[in-house]
Parts: sequence; structure tokens; C-alpha cells
Amino acid sequence: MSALGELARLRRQPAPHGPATARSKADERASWVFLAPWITGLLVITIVPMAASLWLSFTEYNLLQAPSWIGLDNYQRLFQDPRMHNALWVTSRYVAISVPLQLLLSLGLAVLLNQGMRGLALYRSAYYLPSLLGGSVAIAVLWRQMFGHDGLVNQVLGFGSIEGRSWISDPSTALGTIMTLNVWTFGAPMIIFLAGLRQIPNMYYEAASVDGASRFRQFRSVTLPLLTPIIFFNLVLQVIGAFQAFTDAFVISGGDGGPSDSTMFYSLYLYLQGFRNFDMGYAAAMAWLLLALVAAFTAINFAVSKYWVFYDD
Amino acid sequence: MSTGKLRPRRWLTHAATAAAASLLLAACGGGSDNAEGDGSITLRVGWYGGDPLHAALEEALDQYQQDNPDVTVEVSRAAFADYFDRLATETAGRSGPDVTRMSMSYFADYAGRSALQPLDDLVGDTIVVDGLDEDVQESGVLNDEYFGVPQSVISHALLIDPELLATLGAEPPSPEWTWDQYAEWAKAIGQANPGFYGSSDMGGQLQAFEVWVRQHGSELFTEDGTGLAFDRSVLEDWWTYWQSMRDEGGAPPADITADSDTFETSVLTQGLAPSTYVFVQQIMFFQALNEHPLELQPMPTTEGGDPGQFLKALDFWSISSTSEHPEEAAELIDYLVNDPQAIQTIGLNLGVPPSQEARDQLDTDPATPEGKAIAYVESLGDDRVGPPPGPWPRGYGELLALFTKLGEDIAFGSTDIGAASEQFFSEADRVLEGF
Repeated sequence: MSALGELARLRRQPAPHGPATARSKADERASWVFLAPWITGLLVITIVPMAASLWLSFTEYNLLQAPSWIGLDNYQRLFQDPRMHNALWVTSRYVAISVPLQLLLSLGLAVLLNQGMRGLALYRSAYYLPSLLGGSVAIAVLWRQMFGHDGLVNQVLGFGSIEGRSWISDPSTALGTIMTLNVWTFGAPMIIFLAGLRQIPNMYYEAASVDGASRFRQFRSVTLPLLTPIIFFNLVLQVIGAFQAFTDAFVISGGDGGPSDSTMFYSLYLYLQGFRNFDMGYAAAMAWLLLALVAAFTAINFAVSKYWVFYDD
Repeated sequence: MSTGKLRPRRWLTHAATAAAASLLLAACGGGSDNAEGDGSITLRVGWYGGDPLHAALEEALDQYQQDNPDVTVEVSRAAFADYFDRLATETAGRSGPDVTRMSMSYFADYAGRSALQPLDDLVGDTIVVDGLDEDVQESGVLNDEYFGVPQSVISHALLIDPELLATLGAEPPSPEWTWDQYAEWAKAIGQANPGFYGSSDMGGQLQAFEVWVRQHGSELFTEDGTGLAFDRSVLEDWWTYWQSMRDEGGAPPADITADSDTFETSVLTQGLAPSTYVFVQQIMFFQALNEHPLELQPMPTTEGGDPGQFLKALDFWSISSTSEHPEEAAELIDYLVNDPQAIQTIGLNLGVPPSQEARDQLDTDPATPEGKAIAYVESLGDDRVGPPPGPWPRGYGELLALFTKLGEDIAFGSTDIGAASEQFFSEADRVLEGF
């Protein structure tokens, strides 16, 4: 039966009484049926595992035997575990340094690409490419080769193979190579910046240039304020993403967060605790602490945004 | 008319319910379901290792399937760390492989938590173990139950590159040397040849440290496996020894060692040092990467100390406790360890075979790395090898990684030896859980 036919039939019907209520109930049932695949997904893939994880965080669970309830012990251990504190410190530095650098780079390139140059689509794709590759294991492997002892970086810098240093096996530079990899994958925020730049009405620039504003002045007084919602959006997303960074550190360090725990990211330590050291309860507690931290940082971001984000309504 | 309208909805309801149910079933199921009625079964066999081992085992398993047409074998293979990440997840999901290669590093973790099937009823009956060397007979036993069939016999060794030594103008180390003589020799090489070092840095290697501990009169772990059995001073002496090796050119600086954690990047393969610590069968992996012929010799000794090394099986064939076909899995294990054809195919890819019969059958050329490995194992006498230690307790894997990390902390100067040994002892208290 076609929808139009259904409509016609509805019109013919008298005002809703008993039978119509039954109908709306049937409609409601139908809506639940249509929602069922999504709800199933939400339950099976998100809600149930999250609830299970919350419960596991209060247990000692070694994966191989049934979990046993230990109350807050896992959370207490979080405060006494020096390797966890180091992991938090490594991750915080990563977030604090690589996120702003990445935003600066992507904003700068977006502004450059927005100058209406020829072959824009080509450049845009070329600059976006690292982001498509950057999260992958292959690029992390490549990075490991590049910054290794006999790697491309050392060859370019002209170090001999004996005198040279290995960037990834020195605790003072290992984290830097992973930050560089993250900054290099600036494509996603760049595309969003580009879209934002396109949205700024040309009349503001015309008015500004009539008033004799230089291009830098135009950027500072027109572009930047009008772009702040986009900057804010990118900042929130990148901070959340950076707190959960895993793949690059896992591959580049060979899976152990070394040397000397210098690339032991929070999620990497969580993974090692859960899957290698048979301590899934502790890993679950770490995951909930991470959720709390990310939520807190996002809340702070939103609170502070009142003072610097400008909505042009 | 009204039924005509309702029917599609009812159909949709059913379809959606069915879809949801199948999603749930798919999420909960996943176990192997191999009762095919005609008596044929599927066995999953998993192991860790490198490409040569993968090729050899797959060939042996192909032969087995040809001889046993009612058995289909599925394989699951990976490098060591990846394999154990996967095995933990599979075992938690009650879908571990029927037959798995098990390492002593995780043996107590799995066997002590009922993830492996006790083999007492099968060993000696379905699985013949009569010919096993005496030293390895008890290696797969935990709490008086038999959980693992030994794959190989292992001992520690120094791997030497004599040609590199000649280039560096030094004599090979003597098998009789003490650690002090070894250090003197290594430092002399480093000082005479800038950019080269006498020895690899063993400071972060718990398994080399075990030799040192046993030479100093105790085992690594207490008998119940819940704590460390040695004095803190023994550990501090070990780390001080390697600190002085690094300071005086005997061993490479920390960043080179951190970079050398694979066979390909090790200081021996890179030609930076003529001597490194290995387990005996690793001579084959190193030789494949090196043009110079390599030689094995025993670890240095401690003057007036006990024999530090041991002969023991550190890798096993085990059966998951969730296996539906333990009897058939046991038959497969028996084939892998006893069948002359399988012994020939596997060769030394799993290590030196743990029985005289198998070693005689292989009849290796003494000039090959395989022949050297066998000759080395057979040459170790009671002056070198003490009684084998008990199994490594639960938590060993975590402690092994921590030892490496603390070794790096010291070498990079981010902590001192006293603080590191204190941390190692306090973490061991928490991590070690006995058997």
C-alpha cells in the first residue's frame, strides 16, 4: 500500500476514537521496530560494555578466571602507581604540545590555501593525505624507520651510522618523534578551517580594506574572531583524540612504551595492564579515570570558551 | 483488507527481531562447533615464532592432515608478544586454540588459572615422553600436574663473532672466565676501538640475571613463587657491574642498547660488539643475518660460586581447557614431538630437541648453527649446569618487562641503582602471585 493511499484513507476516516488509538499504538510499535537495529547496536556495542567495564573496575579480573569484587582497590592503586603517573605525564605533554602545534599549522595552511590560488584542489588533497595515512600502522612503521639509528633523518642530517643517535631510542627525543607524527596529520582540522574561512562574508574584508586595514590587520580583526567557533571545535576534538592516542606509540616503541617509559602513553599502559599483565580490572579503572579526565578537560574548554569564542549571530 | 495492512508490519517486526537476535547470538557465540557427525573434527593449533618456524610447522601439520583425513587443522600464528595478546583475548572468550605453544613466561599465568588442561591422563599414554632428557622432564609440571609437553631443551650462552673479534684485534673470551675477567676483556676492546664495544649490555635482562643470581647461591623466586629469593645487594651488584661496563666502553651506551632489541638490530648483527647473551637456539636466527660464522660458549662464572646455568624446557605444547577434542589434540602433540617425519620437518626451529633420540635422528653437521646448538647443549656438564629451577610464577611476564625498563632507567640516568632495586622489590611483592 502506498503512502499516498494511506494518506487518502486517513483523510476519509472520522475523528480519532477507539480504533484510532489502537492505530497510534501500532505506529508506536512500528517506530520501535524501526529503531531496533540502532538500539541493539547501542546496547550491545556501547551501553552493555560500558556498564561491564564500570563493574570490572571494582573487581580483580585476570581474563582467565571469573572477576572477584575488590571495591575501590583499583582506584586506590591509581594514586600509588608511579608508572601510571609517568604515563599521565607523558600523555599530558603530548596533548599540551602537539595539539596547539597541529592547530597552528593547520590554520596557517588553511589561510594559505584560501588565497584563491590555482590548483587548490590538488594542494588540498596533497595536504590532507597524511591524515588519511597518519593513524595507520604502516605510517607508524615508516616513522620508526625514519627516526631509527640508520634512518632517513640521520642520513639527511649526515650522521655516520656509529656516531649517530637514534631518535626513537633516546628517552629525550622519542616522545618528540611521536608528537611530530601527530602534528603532521593536520589534514582534518585544516579542511574544517578551510570550510570555516569560506563562510566568512566577503563584505567584512571589503569594509576593512575601505578603512585602510592591512592584510594582517584584517586577519587579526576579521578572520580570527569569526573563526573562533571553528578553532574551538577543532581544539575540543583534537584534545579528546590526543588523550586517547595509542597506535603511534604502540608501533614506534615496539609495544612497550620504551625506552625507559618515555613513550608510555596512558592508553598504551592501559592496554598492557589489561591484555599483557592480566589485570583487566585495573585497566578498566584506568579507562574510567581517563573518561573523567577527558570530560573534565572538555568541560573546562567549554567554560573558558565564553571568554574567547565569538559567535556572529 | 485489515490483515493486508498488518501483514507487512508483522513481517517487519519478525525480521527486526530476528536481526537483533542474530546480532546477539553472533556476539555471544563464536565457539568452535566441529561435531560434524561423520567423525571428522577441526583442531586449532596456535604458536608464536618467526617465518622459518611458521613454514616448518605448517608443513608438519600438512603431513599430519594427509595421514589423518578426518582431522582438519586451522593455524593461528604470530610473533611472541602479539601471540600472547591474542591468546589472552581468545582464552577470555573461551575460544583458545585446542593446541597452543606455551612459553614459560606465561605458563603459570595460564596453567595456574585453569586455562590449560591437565595432561596427566594423556602423558605416558597418548603422548609418549619416555625419551625426554632428565632435566626437562619436570619442566611442564605445575603444582604436581602436567600441563606442558617440552618442545626443546634450552640453556643460556654467549654468542661470539670470532671474525669481528679478529678485526678488533682481540682474543675470543675463554669459557673458563669469571664475570670480572669478561669485563676486563670487554672494556679493553671498547677502549682500543672507539665506536665498538666488547659485549652487549645484559643489565636489563632478567634471564641473564638469573644465571648471576644462581651463581650467588639462591634462586630468583621463593619456592612458593610469591616473592624474590635473593638479596637486594645481589641485584645492585649486577646493575653496578653493567654501569661500569657502559662507563668504560665494555658495553654500548643506553640509546644503542634500546635500539637493539631485535635480532636484526642487535649489536652483534650490527657488528658493534663481538659478544652477546642468547638462549642457545637463537644462534640460528642470528646466523641467518650474519655473514661471519658465529660460535656458542658458556656464560661467565663467579669465582667460588655455584653453577648458574640450567638445562630446562621453556616452551611447551599445551591444550586449552576449553578444547572439545583433548584426545585428538594429544594425538597431534604426540605426532609433533615423536614422529620421525615431524622431527625431521621441524628440525631445530622450535629449539634443540629435548631427547637424545631426536637429536641423533637429525644427525646435524657440526659446522652448521644447528649442529653447534646441539653440541653446546650436550657439552654442558655439572660444573656449568645446576638443577633446573621451578616454574616461573604468575606475574613473571610483567616483572620481565619491568626489569628491562628499570635497566633502561639506570642506563639513561633517570634513576639510581638503589631506587631502581627498591622499586623492583616492591613491585615484585605486588606482581608475583605464586602458582
